[in-house]
Amino acid sequence: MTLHSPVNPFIRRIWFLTCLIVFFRSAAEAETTLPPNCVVEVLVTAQKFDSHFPWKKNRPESRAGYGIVIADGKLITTEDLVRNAMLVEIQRPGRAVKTTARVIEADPRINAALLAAPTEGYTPIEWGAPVGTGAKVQIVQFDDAGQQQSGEGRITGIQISQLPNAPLSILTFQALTDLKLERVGSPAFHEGKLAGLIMEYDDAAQTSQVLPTAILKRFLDDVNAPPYRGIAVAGMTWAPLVAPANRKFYGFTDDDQGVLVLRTIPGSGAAAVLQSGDVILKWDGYAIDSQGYYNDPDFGRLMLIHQISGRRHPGDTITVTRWRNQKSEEVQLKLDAYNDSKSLVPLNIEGVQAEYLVEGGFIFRELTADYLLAAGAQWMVRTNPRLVDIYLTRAQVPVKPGERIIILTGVLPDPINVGYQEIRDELVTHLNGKPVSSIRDVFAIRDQDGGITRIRLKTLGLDLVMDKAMLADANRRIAMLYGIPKREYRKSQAAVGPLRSAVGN
Amino acid sequence: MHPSLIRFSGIFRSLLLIVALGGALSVFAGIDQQRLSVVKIYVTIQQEDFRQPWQSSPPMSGSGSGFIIKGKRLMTNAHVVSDARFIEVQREGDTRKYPAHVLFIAHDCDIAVLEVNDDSFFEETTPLTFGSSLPSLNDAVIVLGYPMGGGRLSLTKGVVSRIDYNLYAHSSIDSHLVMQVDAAINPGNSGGPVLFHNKVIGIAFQGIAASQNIGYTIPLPVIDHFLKDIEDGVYDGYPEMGAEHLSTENPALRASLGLPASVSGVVVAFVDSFGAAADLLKPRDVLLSIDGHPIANDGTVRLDDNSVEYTEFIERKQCTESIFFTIWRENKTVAVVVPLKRKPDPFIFRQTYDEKPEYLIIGGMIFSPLSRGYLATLGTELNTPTAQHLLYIVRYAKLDNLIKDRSQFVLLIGRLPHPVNTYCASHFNQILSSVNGVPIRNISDLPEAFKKPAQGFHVFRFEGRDDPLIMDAGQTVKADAEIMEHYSIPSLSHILSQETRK
Repeated sequence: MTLHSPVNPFIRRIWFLTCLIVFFRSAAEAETTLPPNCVVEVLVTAQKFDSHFPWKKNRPESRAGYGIVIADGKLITTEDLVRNAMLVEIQRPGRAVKTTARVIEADPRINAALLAAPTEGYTPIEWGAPVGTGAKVQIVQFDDAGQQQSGEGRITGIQISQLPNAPLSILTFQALTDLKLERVGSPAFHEGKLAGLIMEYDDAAQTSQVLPTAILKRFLDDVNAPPYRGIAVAGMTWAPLVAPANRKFYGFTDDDQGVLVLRTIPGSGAAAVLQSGDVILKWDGYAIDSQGYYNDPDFGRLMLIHQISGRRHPGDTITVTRWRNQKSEEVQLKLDAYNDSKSLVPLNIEGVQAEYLVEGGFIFRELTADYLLAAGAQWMVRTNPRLVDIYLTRAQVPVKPGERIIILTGVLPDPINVGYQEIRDELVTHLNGKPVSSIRDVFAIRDQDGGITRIRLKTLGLDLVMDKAMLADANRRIAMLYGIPKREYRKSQAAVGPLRSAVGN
Repeated sequence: MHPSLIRFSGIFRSLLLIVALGGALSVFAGIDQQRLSVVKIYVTIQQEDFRQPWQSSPPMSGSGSGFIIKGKRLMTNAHVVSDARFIEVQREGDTRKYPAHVLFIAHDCDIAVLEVNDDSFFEETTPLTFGSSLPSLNDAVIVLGYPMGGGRLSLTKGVVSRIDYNLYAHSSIDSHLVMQVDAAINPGNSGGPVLFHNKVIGIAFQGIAASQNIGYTIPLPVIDHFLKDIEDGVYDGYPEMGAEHLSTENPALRASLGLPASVSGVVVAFVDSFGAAADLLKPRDVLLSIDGHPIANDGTVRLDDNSVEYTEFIERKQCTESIFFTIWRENKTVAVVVPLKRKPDPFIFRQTYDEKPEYLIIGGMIFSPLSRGYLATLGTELNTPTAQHLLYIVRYAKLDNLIKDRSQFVLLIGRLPHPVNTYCASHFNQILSSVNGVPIRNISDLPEAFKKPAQGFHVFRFEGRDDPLIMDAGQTVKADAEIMEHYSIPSLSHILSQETRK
């Protein structure tokens, strides 16, 4: 704006001179502090599955970001850049020669991805030690011509905050930046060594969210010691125990320590040694204050959650000091791997294709968070409130292991399903008279009975019935008419479990 | 929706000029007398403050329209005079304003009847009379009233564009017949008469924001229903049948119900325990006919050459009447009589007016039952998981059987900060499940529960939350005296008796 507004020529000259001086100074600084040749452009073509018609794919989208060479043939970047990638390519900034890259591992829970690609001519970065609040960082990006732009940033906060493209929280830096950042994956350097990757930039606040090296290094250690284990979870929910009345009620004296265990997830490590009403005094050797913070040796005051997910690996056993029955005792707690598939409503951040069955035009699948979130910013008010409520209030608590919510996303109109064609986003309780609590049940009932002809929706006091004699013909007709290549998608048993990223080529 | 309807109005537009010129004189000449019977209503209203239920919102003034009916009464919309503290009425061309009061108010169909304290108001006026049947589509009607943009009576002209079921926004939940006209209807028109051949066949009452030439009026059948209802001196309201149905268009569904090909009808899928059909109809019953009229597979009934929803028959009845169904149950035809009634239903969540919200304050924590009025105050907070859960309850409390043995969902709606509740700034908008171990079925359970503190603490537990709110019971009494003083609270609670609540 200022560039185009009429300015007094004298002022303009001054402005121009000042600008030059700044330019020369920062260029001079950059030469001494920025490592050369470690940043590549990552170009991604991604494609998601349609959640309502799960055999279909949405239109492909293109994304661009940066990757950092960390070793010969290896790059790191943010996971959300390569999520659902069909093709990943790299190029030298500003050049048009592209080389195909392959995703070795990508973890949406910490937003980190490791890529394999030829890296001749690049110099791998050096890893920096953890930086604290107030530390200065240099952030690098490139203009269209491939000219390097660098800006200065200052770490203004280190805290647990939500990832930009996943409903999960991890250790994050906030950096106040003087450069308008255009893409994810820009590196932030501290004294010439990598301090983190930019995950998100807020233009109005000039603040970027930075994925710290601590998380990235932990991710790489994990990848380098296969099998990849991912983040660790204890399997419990807890609440601060600040209120003096609550502390007294739980039999506590006045010292400011301990958080309250609310609930443990059956079968988890926490469930073995903790129960609702216990107070956690120490976790893995660190005292936990009444708000749930501890003093991290690297990052200062942090939420307990980083202790669980950021410093330890699944399978590790840690010592927890709990307060129960008016006395404190040490117990050994084994951390588990985060397993989305154990939830009643899995998040499916990765956007893995949903298992589904189309029978007589009825589309059955399991409820997942990505199904709900696909409705856009107004998803809460756009979908059946009943489904939204299940996700918001009890997504992680199946009544029995493996339980899921089966939904009818809609009905593809055909003579076999007249009278039912307006129904969508409903919860299915029984098929052919048998209760269903997972898509496996749906397939099992279909296989056993040779078709699904009776559908019971929640609250309705009768089944929706279809003519079994018409079913085979209707299925063929519907598949042809609506262009459904496969009426069902069913993962092989082996593929179920922790999800592997196998994208690129 | 109906292509024929669109074509029809297209033809009409080309004829409009002729009609307007030729008809203008006669229309204006004919309504001189009717004109004098259309009055302006000035109201001062004070709505309840659902966030701070011990007080009302600031008084606001507004105006609407009404018309004189027989018996020295005025008819207007319920929403014009809801929450009114003071009502005045004024005749066209008269500078005097006369105080008036509400005689009957029907929130479910947005109609009210007023009385004027001074009989001289009615001198030299002739009551408007009601037509005997609804006009047809394309019939020209005129709307009289006092809309924004001037002080004197306004007349707008249009045609009947559509007659259909629609939501009555005043109660937020009721749907009745609505007559759509293309005459301009603006704020202030509410309560004004719609005339056809100089007789009232509707009352202007609502519109659609960002629409053009869509004005909604309450048609004759709804007005007739109201007038018949108040004949006994009390307004009872529309009966609630409380049965949800599915069509029986699917042959396989029909076969599974053993339904012979010769009959048609709709199948009951859900019966509301608070409705008139509770215990009389059950899921899988097929409704074959209503009051002797066969029901089609899509739920419509042929009536005077029109297809109407079978529920239209229930709409026309009063609470004292009955509906006669022939139903198909367990492979037999059975006659079922459903005596229509309106049971007290705390879970219908109709918007309330002229009723103080119930509440209770303890230790500065404010509790109040979930209501539509309260939800409306949440604004942008509606996009939070807690508020979404409340919206789910409002819609699904009965369908998903969330009620259990409750008669209210009691919420923590706020906190009046005081040292006693410094650490209690959480759990807002969550549903109270128990206090000191006593289950909270409605707000009347609270005072009793506070008599039994657990080891000197009041322990509040909420649905779906494992961490309770805990207050030192000993400190709350003293604190509440201070809180009343500081926050100007006249009373710590307003709790109705069970009988009044009904």
